[in-house]
Amino acid sequence: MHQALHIFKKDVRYLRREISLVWALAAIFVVNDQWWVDLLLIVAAVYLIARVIHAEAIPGDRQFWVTRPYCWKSLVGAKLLFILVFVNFPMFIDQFLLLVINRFPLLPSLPGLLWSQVLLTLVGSVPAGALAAMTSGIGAFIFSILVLLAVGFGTERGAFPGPGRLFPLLETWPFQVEWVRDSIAAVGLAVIALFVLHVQYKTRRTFFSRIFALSGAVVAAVVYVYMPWPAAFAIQSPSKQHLDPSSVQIVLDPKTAKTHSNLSSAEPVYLDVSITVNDVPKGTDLRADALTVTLKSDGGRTWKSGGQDFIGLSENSNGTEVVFRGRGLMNRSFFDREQEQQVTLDASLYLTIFGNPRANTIPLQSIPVNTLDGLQCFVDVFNQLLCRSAFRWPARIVDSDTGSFGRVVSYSPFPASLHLNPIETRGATSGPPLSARVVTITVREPISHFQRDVEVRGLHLKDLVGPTSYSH
Amino acid sequence: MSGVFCTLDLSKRFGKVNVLDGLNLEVPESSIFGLVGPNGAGKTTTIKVLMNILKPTAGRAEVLGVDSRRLLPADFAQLGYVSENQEMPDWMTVEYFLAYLKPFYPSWDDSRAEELIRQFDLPRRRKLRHLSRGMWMKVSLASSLAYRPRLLVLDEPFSGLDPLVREELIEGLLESAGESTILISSHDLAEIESFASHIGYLDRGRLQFSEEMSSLSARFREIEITVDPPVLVSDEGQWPDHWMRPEATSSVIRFIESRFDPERTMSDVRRLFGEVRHISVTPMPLRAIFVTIARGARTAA
Repeated sequence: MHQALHIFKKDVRYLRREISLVWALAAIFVVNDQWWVDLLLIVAAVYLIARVIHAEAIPGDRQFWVTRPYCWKSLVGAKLLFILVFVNFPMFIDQFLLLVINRFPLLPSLPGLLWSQVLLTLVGSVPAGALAAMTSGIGAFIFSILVLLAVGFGTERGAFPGPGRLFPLLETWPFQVEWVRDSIAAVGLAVIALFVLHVQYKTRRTFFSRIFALSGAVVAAVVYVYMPWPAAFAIQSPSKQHLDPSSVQIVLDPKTAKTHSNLSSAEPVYLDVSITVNDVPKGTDLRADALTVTLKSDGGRTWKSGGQDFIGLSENSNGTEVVFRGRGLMNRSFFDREQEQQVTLDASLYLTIFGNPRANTIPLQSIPVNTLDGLQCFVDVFNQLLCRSAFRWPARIVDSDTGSFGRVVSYSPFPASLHLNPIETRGATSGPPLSARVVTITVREPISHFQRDVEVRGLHLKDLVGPTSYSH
Repeated sequence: MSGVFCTLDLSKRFGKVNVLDGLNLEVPESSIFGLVGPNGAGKTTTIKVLMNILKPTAGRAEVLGVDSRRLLPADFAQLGYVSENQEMPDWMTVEYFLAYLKPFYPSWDDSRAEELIRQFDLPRRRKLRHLSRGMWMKVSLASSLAYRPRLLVLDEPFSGLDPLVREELIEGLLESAGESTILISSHDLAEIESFASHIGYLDRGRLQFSEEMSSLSARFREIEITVDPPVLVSDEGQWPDHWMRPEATSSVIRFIESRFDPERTMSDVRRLFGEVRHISVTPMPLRAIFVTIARGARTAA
C-alpha cells in the first residue's frame, strides 16, 4: 500500500497538467453539456489513462522500472487508484452536480449514480487501461484506438451491406431487449480487460495478452453480432412474472391472407402477418415486442424471418383483444419455388403485459416538476410536453393526458445506461392544450413477459403476400 | 549451481536466431566480472535474461540463488542495473529521481547517495532529459550504488563516453567493489582490463572461456622465434592447436601461445624447430587477446 501511494504521488506530479485538463473539461461539462465537450472530456480522460499506464510501460525491455523492486500489485493498484481519482471521480462529481442542478431527487437517483460509475469504470476506464498496458507508447495506443474504432464503427454500421451481408442480424434487435446483448458485450469487455491487466502487470507477457485480447474481442463480437434475439427474451422472461399470462391466447388473423397477382420477378416479396391476441387481462396494457415467423413447405424447404422483419409491429386494441400486424421481407427464391405449394406457418409472438398503473397530476410549467419514478416533466417554448429522467428512461410505459412518451422502452433491470450525461429526455407524441394548467402523468410497469406460438397448416404462400407499398 | 549469478544450459532464441546457445557461466561472489565478446555475441541478452527482462527459451539463470524468472521485489532490492539503452523517467530531476527510488530500497544509504552526487558532480535540479550522456550514465550508476547492491550489472556502460567520464565511472565502481559483485559487459577492453578480476568471452551465444584476469593474462603470450639456419616450415598441422594465428617465414615464426607455460612452450618449440637463435615472449593486453580469439573463432567457423 505504501509503495502504491508512492507511485501514485509520482504520477500525480508527472501528469499534473493532463489532470488539470481533464478536471477543467469536467467543470465545463457541468455548465455546458454539449456533445463536443462530452467528446473532448472522453478523449482527455482516455489520454490521461494511457499516459499514466505508459509512465511504467509494460511492453518492451528498456524501461527502468522493470529492474527496480516494484511490486506488481502496488503498481497496478497505483494506476487504478489514479484512474479512479482523476478520471472517474470527476465524472462522478459531474453527474452528481447535474442531478443537483436539475433538482432530481438524490436518494432515488443514488443507485443510478453508483451504477453509472461501475459502468464507466469497467466498460470505459479499465478497457482503456488494458489497451494502454499492451502498448508501449502513446503513438501505438492512438493507432490501436483508431483501428478499434474503425472496426467497431464498420461492424456497428454493417460495413458489409447487401444480400450476402456478413452481419445479417446486426441492428435488428428489438430495443426492449438490447440490454441483454449490451450487457454480454460489457461483461466480456470488462473480463477481457481485467484479465489482460492481471497478466500484463504480473507477468508482462504482452504477446500472450494481445492474442488473448484479440481472440476475446473476436469471440465477444461474434456473440454480439450473431446471438439471436429470441434468446434475449428467454433470458429476461423469468425476470418479470407478476401476472399469470396463461389465459392469453393468439390466433393468426384471417385478414392476414392477401391476394397479389402481379409480382414481377424483380419485385421484393413481403410477408404480411396479422395475429390476434385474445383474453388480455382487464386493466392491463399488452405490447408486442417482436415476432418471428417460419414457413415450411411440404417439400421440406424452410424460410425463417430475420433482419428487420417483424420488428415494430402495429397494433389495434379492442378491449380484451389486440391485433398485431407486421411485415417481413421474404426470400425471393423460396417464394418463387413454393408459391403454388401449401406451407405451414409457425409464428412466435413475444409479448409484455404492463399493469399497476399509477398517476400523478402536476402543474404545467417550464420548470421541470418531479413526478413518478424519478421522472421530471415540463413544457418547452414550443408547448411540447417533455419528461426526463436520470441515468435512463424508466422501464415503464409513460403516458400523459394528451400523448404517450413512446411505446418502446428498455426492459433492462439496471439503474443506469452507459452515458456521461445522465439525463435522458423524451417528448410526448402531442402537447397539452394551451389552456391546460395541469397534466396527469400515468406510468405502467411491465408485469409479465411471455411468448405465444401459433402454427397454421395448409396456407397458400401466394395468399400471404402483400403489395410492395405498405405502412404500419 | 553456485555463485552470485550463474547460468545452466541457457538458451535464448528470437525467431530462428539462436542468440544464446547452451550458455554455462558462473560469476563468483565479490568478483568484477567482465563479459566480453563481439557484437551479437549475446552479452546484452545474457544480462537481460539475468535481470528477468527476457525469459529464457531453455535452461535457466540463477541470480542470488533465485531463478531469474522468479525474482521478487526483495531480490531486485539487492540488484543494480545500469544500461546504456535504459529508458529513464526523463521528466524527473536528478534529485527527485533519487528521492523517488529511495523508498523502494530498504538498504538505501542517504549519505552514500549524497557522496555519489558530489563525487559525480551531478546537477541536482536538472531534469534527466537535459543531461549529457555521460551525466546521464552517472545518474544511472549513482541510483544503483546508493543502496549498496549485492550484484551490480552494467551493460556497455562506457560506450560513447569521454575518457574523463569513464574514469569517474570506474572510480565509482571500484569504491563499491568490496561490497558488490559486479558484472560488466563492454567492448571497451582497455577499461575492463584495468579493473576486472574475472573475464568471460562470449561468441555466438557460447562461452569460449571464463577465468580470472591474472590467469588469462598469464596464459596468453605473443611469441616470436628466430631460427638459424632457416628451416622449411611445411607442416603447420603438427603445431599444437593452442598456438594461434601462426605466421612463418624461412627464419622467423610468430604465433600466439594460448596456454603459455615457460617450460612446456619451450619444449614444444624445441621439438618442432630444434635449437632457436632467438625467442621473444611478450605479454599481451586484453584487447590483443580478444582480437586473437575472435579471429580464431571466425577462422574456425
